[in-house]
Amino acid sequence: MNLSKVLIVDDNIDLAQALEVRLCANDYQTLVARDGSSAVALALDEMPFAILLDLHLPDEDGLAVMQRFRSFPELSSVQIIVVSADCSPVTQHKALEQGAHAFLEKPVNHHLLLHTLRDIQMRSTDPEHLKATTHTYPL
Amino acid sequence: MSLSTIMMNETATQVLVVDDSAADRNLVRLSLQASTHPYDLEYAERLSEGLDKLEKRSPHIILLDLNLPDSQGNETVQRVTDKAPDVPILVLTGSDDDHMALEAVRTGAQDYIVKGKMDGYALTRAMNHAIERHQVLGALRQSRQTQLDFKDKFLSHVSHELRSPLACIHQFVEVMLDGLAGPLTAKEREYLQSILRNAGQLNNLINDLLDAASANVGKLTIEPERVEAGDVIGQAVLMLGPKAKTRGVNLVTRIAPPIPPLQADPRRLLQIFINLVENALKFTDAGGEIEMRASIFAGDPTFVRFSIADTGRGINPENLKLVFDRLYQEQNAASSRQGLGLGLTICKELVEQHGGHIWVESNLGKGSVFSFTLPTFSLPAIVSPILVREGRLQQATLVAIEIARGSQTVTDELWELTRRRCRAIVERCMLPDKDLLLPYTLALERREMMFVLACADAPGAAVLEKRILGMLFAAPQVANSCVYDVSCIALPGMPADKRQLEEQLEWVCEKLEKAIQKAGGS
Repeated sequence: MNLSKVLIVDDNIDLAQALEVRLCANDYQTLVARDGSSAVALALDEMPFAILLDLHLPDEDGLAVMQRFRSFPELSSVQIIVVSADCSPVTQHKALEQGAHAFLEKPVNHHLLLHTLRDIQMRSTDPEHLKATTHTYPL
Repeated sequence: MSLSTIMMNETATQVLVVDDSAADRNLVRLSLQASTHPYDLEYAERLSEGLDKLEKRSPHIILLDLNLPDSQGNETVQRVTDKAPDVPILVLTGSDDDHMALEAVRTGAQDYIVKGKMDGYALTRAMNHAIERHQVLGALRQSRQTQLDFKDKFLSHVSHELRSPLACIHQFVEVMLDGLAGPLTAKEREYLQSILRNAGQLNNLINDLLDAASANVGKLTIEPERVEAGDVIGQAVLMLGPKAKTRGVNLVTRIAPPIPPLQADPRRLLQIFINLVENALKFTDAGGEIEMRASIFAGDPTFVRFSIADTGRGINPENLKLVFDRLYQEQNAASSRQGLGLGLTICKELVEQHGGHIWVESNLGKGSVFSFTLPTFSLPAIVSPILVREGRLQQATLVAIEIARGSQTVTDELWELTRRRCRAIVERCMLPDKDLLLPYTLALERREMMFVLACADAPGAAVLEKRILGMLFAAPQVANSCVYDVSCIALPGMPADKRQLEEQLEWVCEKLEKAIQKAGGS
């Protein structure tokens, strides 16, 4: 897994570019996919540490794409940040429940985006954090 | 079934006759006997009997006498339409009450016939007409609904499509303002800021469109909690004060006497205030005044009445009824920026979702007063569905969840995200009919407490406590941005003396509030 690579999945190429500019200025490497299928292929090839996923994709629903990411064990530690214009509580709840790391509303607040990415990086490098996240509390 | 289907198939028309007079029932039977079309008659002497029969079998038509031993007048029609909205009603009436019959038709009956002037031909004609009219009205309603559904789907789709390019504009302007595309001159900066401001305004309009679309399909969501209205009014003044000032309008508040907390969604309440004040701003010229008032509602002290009064142009009396309609636009707005005409519709929908009312009074040339009511917060009303089983109060334990910011680097936005996530986790741990997330959040310096009332004894509540702890622990985002603690607070047992359920409930609620206050102070 490459701790500076971020995959942006959005069919609006301009929006993806705006995010790229922002991320590159903060020393991230970016990759862009326009639909679900190429996103999965690109993720497997490039192993980014985080994926910014739009829910409104041309080929399939973003939540279904998230499930496909999750079906590959090699992508299990890649964190998915959902980015959507539809920020209704129902959608947010669904995305988080299905395993999204965070939910960001469009237009993306870049302070929040950068903080979230740093949070994921920190978690991946610090074994203590990793331990905390994989621990399940005995019932 | 439509009339033509019944007639063509020559299947018997099933008729339920509800009339307490044996002579009248006989008259109906004899009138229909002569017809070539078969009728299958069933009788009821009382309304209750009629309603029972409707429950078992749905006839093609009901012949209904309005004055029955157990129901009188228009109420009879109302009760039948409530029970069987899909069955047409033909009212049987005496010769002297045309007026009442007409009322019945307005309430939901399809037609009426005067018993004294009834023969076979007149009765079958009226019955056919009633069945046909009912069918046409149903089709009309259906087609109207289809149109509305289509319009709302379209509106929702368009809004989403509009948002995406707007987000893009916003994102790029921010990139430029942050100097990521090279240094900016002062002029460039000023113009970009203007683009950003207007993009923001456009985004608000799109939000209105989406809200209005969801309002119409009954999907506008509210999340009520215990709210201090004064805080929300303060927020509204903070947000709208500068705008009022640039227009030369004085924005003032008058909250007197101190009003009790509300059971309302604070974000939605803020939205209502903003919409109403912005609306007032549109019609008020420089030098005018807008006053936001709050007081206990004289008509019902369990409600608080809010008013937004302006010294603007007022509304034409004939337009007063229209102002809450979708897309209605008053023509003489002071500002060229009129908005979409959705703000007041959204307000009405939001107020009604809370169980309140909204209305307007206006004096042409002197100003308008928009008022609305919202319910005050009542803990007993909220906890009773959980705590009362079979008329008895159940044992309960209070579970307190405390979360605090993990470090100084946690921004306000991340904190907001984290606390919403914690809330969602807690809600997922609860059993829907046994546990209740209480509408108290104690927001203290850098930390916050939520409370769950568990309808369980101490060991039972401890299971919930463990479940919440485990889920918070396993959630990656929570672990990093906050520290948390979950604890059970035992509530004192019920007093031994026999009290009414209502008093017991109040007693428990008092203890609850004390426990919560104590937890916050610790």
